[in-house]
Amino acid sequence: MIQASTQRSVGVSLEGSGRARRGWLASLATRVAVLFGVSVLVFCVLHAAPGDPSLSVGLAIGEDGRVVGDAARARFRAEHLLDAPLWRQYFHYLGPFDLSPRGHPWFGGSGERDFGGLLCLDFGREFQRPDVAVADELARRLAVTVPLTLVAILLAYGLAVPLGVACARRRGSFFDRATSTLLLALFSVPAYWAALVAMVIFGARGLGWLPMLGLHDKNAAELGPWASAVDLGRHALLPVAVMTYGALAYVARQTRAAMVEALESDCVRAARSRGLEERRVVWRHAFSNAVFPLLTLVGSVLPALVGGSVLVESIFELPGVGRYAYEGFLQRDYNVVMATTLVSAALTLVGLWVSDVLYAWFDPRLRRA
Amino acid sequence: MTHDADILLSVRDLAVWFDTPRGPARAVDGVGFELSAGERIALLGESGSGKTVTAQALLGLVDRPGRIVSGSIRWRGRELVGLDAREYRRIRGREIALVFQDPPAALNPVLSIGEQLTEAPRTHLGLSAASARDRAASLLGELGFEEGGRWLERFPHQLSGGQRQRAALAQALICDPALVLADEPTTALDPTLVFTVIELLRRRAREQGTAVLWITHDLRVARSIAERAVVLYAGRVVERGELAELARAPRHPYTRALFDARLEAAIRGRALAAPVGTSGDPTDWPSGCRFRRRCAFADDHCATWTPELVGDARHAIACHHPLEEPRA
Repeated sequence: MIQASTQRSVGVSLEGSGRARRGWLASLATRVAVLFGVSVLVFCVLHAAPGDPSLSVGLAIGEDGRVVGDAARARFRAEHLLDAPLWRQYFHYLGPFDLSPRGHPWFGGSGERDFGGLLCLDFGREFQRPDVAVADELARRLAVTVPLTLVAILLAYGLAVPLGVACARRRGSFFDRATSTLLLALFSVPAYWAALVAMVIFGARGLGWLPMLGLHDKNAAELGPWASAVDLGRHALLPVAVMTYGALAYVARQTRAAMVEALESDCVRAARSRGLEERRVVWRHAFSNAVFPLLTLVGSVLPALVGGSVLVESIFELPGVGRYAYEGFLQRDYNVVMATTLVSAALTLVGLWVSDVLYAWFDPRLRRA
Repeated sequence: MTHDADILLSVRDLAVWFDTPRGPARAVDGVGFELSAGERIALLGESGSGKTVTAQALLGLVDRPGRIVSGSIRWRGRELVGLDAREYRRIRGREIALVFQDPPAALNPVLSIGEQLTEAPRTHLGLSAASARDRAASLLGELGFEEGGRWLERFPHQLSGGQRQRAALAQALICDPALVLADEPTTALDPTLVFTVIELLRRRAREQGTAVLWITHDLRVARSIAERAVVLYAGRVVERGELAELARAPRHPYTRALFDARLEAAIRGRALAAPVGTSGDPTDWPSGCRFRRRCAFADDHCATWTPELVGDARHAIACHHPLEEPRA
């Protein structure tokens, strides 16, 4: 996910900063409008996809041994407005009025539940498990994805930036060429393949060093705090490694390219000709000019935090957000897919805003006079 | 004549080669000159003659694939070739400063003027932040910034073009270097500023004994700043001496062509006597005299024997067929 969303060019981001200059209120309004646009679009696409949440309803076997008839499914469809026109379904989802049969009396409901929907900050309930609020489940999933992704991102940046700078400083050396080749190879390896290979090598069938699935051992509840931390670390090691390496390779290559350019610029050569310490020349003079492509990447980090990696979470059976979205889509659980997509979209916008702010922080030319 | 003790910089047989797939490019190949405190020398020559590489070599900043192959650079009697990085840093900026070809490009766009002017004095002279700022402010004042201190908070993009040029000059001069290397800075400077810069450097030469090595192909600028000149051709010194003497009676055919190529000469209706063609491929210089293929006086002797630089400090020349007559 990090890799896929890192293609935004520097030019686009500079444009974004110009937009921010019009005032934060206007830019907030723009962003809210974008979010609504996303919600309409995703809603339409989702409903255009074949199937709907009622498919798995009514397939249960009743107590009498027969398939429970269409009655249950019809009730389910009516309750969730699945046969209503699309615009009505959307406004039911958007709120603030509940348009379902149990909804607000103005719209022909029974008045059991007058308000609801997105505008009430209500993501609704899961279709298959009506007692589970999507927001609650999302929070539980975030508690898995955010720490894992955060560690992966910090690791990726923490290793990639010094590595890229070191390569740029020794450009053309054996170290640089070997590292660049290795990074290119890493970047080219698909995450799902790497995950499977890692499982084969380290899992029970291979060396048997690490547990493969889930985040905790079966007996996690009985472990002390220290042992349980070790257990968590052993479970998280491979997923984090798989989530890290692609981003690491990408960020390191970006850093190297930007630093090579910066180190050859006149102002860096001038700084060197003034006899400044090498550390100051490299980090203060060159890196402060090379940092901008990395700031652009920061904009894509936030959505990656919640999006996680659908593939990695699925392969390692981690109960994270990416897997939640995937499961939601398989079951055509509109509420789950909408919630995960919207949170992701909102964080993308926040990420862009953060990257604009960072640009202005690092580049005095973008600050207001 | 200067005593040896007064000599700041002594360059002997300096050779800087760049390794290329086609063999070494001999960009600088046996350059020598001396410079005393307060002296102003022009390093003359067309593009590709090795002027800029010479300046880089003096600062120990020849980037790979370039390397100093042989020769010696003595600064106040101390050998700089092969000096370790830490020692060399103490000389750069503090003793020998470089003014870039395009001075404003030497300013870092994301750092404040104050930071860029105070970092060198803090590193080299051990000044506190406050006294480094005072020093920067007064230098900016000297360079024509009103209320110099006011400008330290600014960033390069907030300065006008002329101000950026002066700020870049301040960067080079902030530690009061004993030698300023100016790498054709006037090609990118405002004409009015050229005069200011030259005046400033002349005054520093007079008052503080700052030596200047002015790299240029512009003879008019060279004559307004320098007393002596070293004429480079294809990485070698072809003629060296007092500038007035060189201008009056250039003896190397190349020097003469260079002086005749002045625009003024063309305006006055004389035919431009610019040397035809280019100096050639630095990986494959002509044998013998490197100028021979463009020289009207060249013969077999020139193709076989490399002319040595012969003469005294006042005027030395490397040519088998020097011009005898002062030109009309």
